[in-house]
Amino acid sequence: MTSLEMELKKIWYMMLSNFRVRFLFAFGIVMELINVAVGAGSYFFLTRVFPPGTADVMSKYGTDVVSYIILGIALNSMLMQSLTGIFSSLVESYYDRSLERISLSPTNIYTLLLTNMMSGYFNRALNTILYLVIGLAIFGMNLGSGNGALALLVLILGLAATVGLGMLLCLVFFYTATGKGGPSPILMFAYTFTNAFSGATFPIEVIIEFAPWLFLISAFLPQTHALSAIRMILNGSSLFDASVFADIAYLIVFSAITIPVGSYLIRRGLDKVRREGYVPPSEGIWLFG
Amino acid sequence: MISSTPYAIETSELTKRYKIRETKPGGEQKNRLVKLLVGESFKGRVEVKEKIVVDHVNLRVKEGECLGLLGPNGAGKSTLLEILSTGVLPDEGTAHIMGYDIAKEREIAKGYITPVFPMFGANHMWTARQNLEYVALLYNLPKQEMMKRIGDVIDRVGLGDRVDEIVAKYSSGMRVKLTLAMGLMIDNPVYLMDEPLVGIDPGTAKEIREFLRKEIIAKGRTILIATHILADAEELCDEVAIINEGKIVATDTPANLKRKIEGTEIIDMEVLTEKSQTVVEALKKLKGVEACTLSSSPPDQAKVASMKIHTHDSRRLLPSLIDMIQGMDGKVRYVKVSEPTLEDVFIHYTGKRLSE
Repeated sequence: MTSLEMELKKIWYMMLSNFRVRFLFAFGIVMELINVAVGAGSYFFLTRVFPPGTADVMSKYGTDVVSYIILGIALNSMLMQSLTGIFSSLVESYYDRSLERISLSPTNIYTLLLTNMMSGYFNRALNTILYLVIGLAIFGMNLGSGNGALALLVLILGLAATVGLGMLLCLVFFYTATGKGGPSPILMFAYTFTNAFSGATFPIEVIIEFAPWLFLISAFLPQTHALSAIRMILNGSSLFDASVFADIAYLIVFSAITIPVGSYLIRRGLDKVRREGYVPPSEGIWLFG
Repeated sequence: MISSTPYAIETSELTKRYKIRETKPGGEQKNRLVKLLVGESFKGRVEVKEKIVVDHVNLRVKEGECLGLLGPNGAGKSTLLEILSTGVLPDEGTAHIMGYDIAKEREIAKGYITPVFPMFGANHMWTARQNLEYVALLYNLPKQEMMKRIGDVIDRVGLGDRVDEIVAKYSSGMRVKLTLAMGLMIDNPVYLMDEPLVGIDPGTAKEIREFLRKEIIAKGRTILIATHILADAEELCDEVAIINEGKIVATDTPANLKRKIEGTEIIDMEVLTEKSQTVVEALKKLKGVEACTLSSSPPDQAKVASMKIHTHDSRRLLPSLIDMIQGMDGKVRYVKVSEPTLEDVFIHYTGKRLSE
């Protein structure tokens, strides 16, 4: 068996064990279903109270507000996994010592990170599918009649670019004590930030009207470009549409820069952990360490 | 490059420093950002100190030998093992496993190591068998060998009939046994074991020591075992290294170490007193007392202080000892004079008890 086959076998085994754990709690899946239905429903009923007032902005995407929001939330779930998956995996494995256990074995640390990412994608994909099914079946969501395969390809590209950004986020873990203090504050920050500025729940064009400088943040996030391109493709735009082409080009360039840089920085960060040892944060308040 | 050393484990001036952050109560918080973030609720100051946790350690363990690292909590045993296992880099000095430098030839060196570190723990949502298979997978164990090894270790630690239950249902003792079994899944030439038998009942611990002797040591494996359990050191180890505050203060066979303090007598006393610490400090100054330590009293006997006193002449010392205790309003309720044990050797070199 080649070493690649060995690593794939490990990923498969660990993912399978994680899935078994997930399905041990069948009630949790029912709760998730209810959560998704209520979440999508809330936006649906909100648009009944406040009739859409952004028709001009929406025309770019060729869809209605409810469809826009549900698709945004559904895809953002996967994109969030890309953004925070490696970070969460590093923090958890640092504290449960699996990072150290694996570093002492012949297994590659990236096998652990990849397994956790894949398990996360699997869970998030279920969430995304639930949103889409409930949106289509109950709330009259319109997915458009564009090229679904191309949209899926752009989603994969968007996930890759967001992984690159997520790798850079790991610097918070390696170089600040706050990062080692636990994933929650960082993840909450990432979640709120991307939800607000990536165009997941409202078009970013609205931001320009409010504060033009905030648009720079939106324009930087790969999620913004992925979501924008997917929406436009689903509503009939082709690959050669200027806006779609620009979004895809941005995602490719962003991935090409951030993934190699991120990989290098994570490697350096892991060396730093070996130099510093697996020391839990001491008492007191400190930001950098 | 492999060296011609006969040692399975060899360290030279191995040193590790950690940055320790401590909150000092009181004082003015100078950092404006911290002040801004936490307001008036945080009155302390955070100080960063450098602590030497492994201090110029020189160790040599021959192939097939078992060396015990005897020291109290916080002595640096775990950090030393983490460095030797290649998990943590040293700041100074070198270490070789089977002749391979742990820093420069890490990938080769770690292939010779079996780390038995209970701190790694098990996944509580998996079954014991899944956890054991996971370790086998990490170390690329072939399926047949994995099955055989799982059968061996699970029987040895006494989890045979519950191997397919999820670990969350286990008692704390069973979890300790499982983490030990996970460590023993891998059979490489050098075993690094960090307090492997802590939390295991005496009967099972005895069986596991027997297993280590017959199945691991008899096969010529080298063991470095950190422990503060005397039975581990006395029953398993060819040599014992006493470690205190990161330094190795003595290394020899258990018998030789005891011989080194030959002539020393140990007085075990139980004293009824409300100021045990003051009494101990006074006794330390008494002529003829070489060392005096205090162990914590049982909760239901808060006024009973158990003391251990090292002396060369108990007959001459005892009268003045009792006089001094009575002079401090204490009452001696039990006295026993005995030959030194390995723990007494430890006290002799460090002035501390192993349980401290």
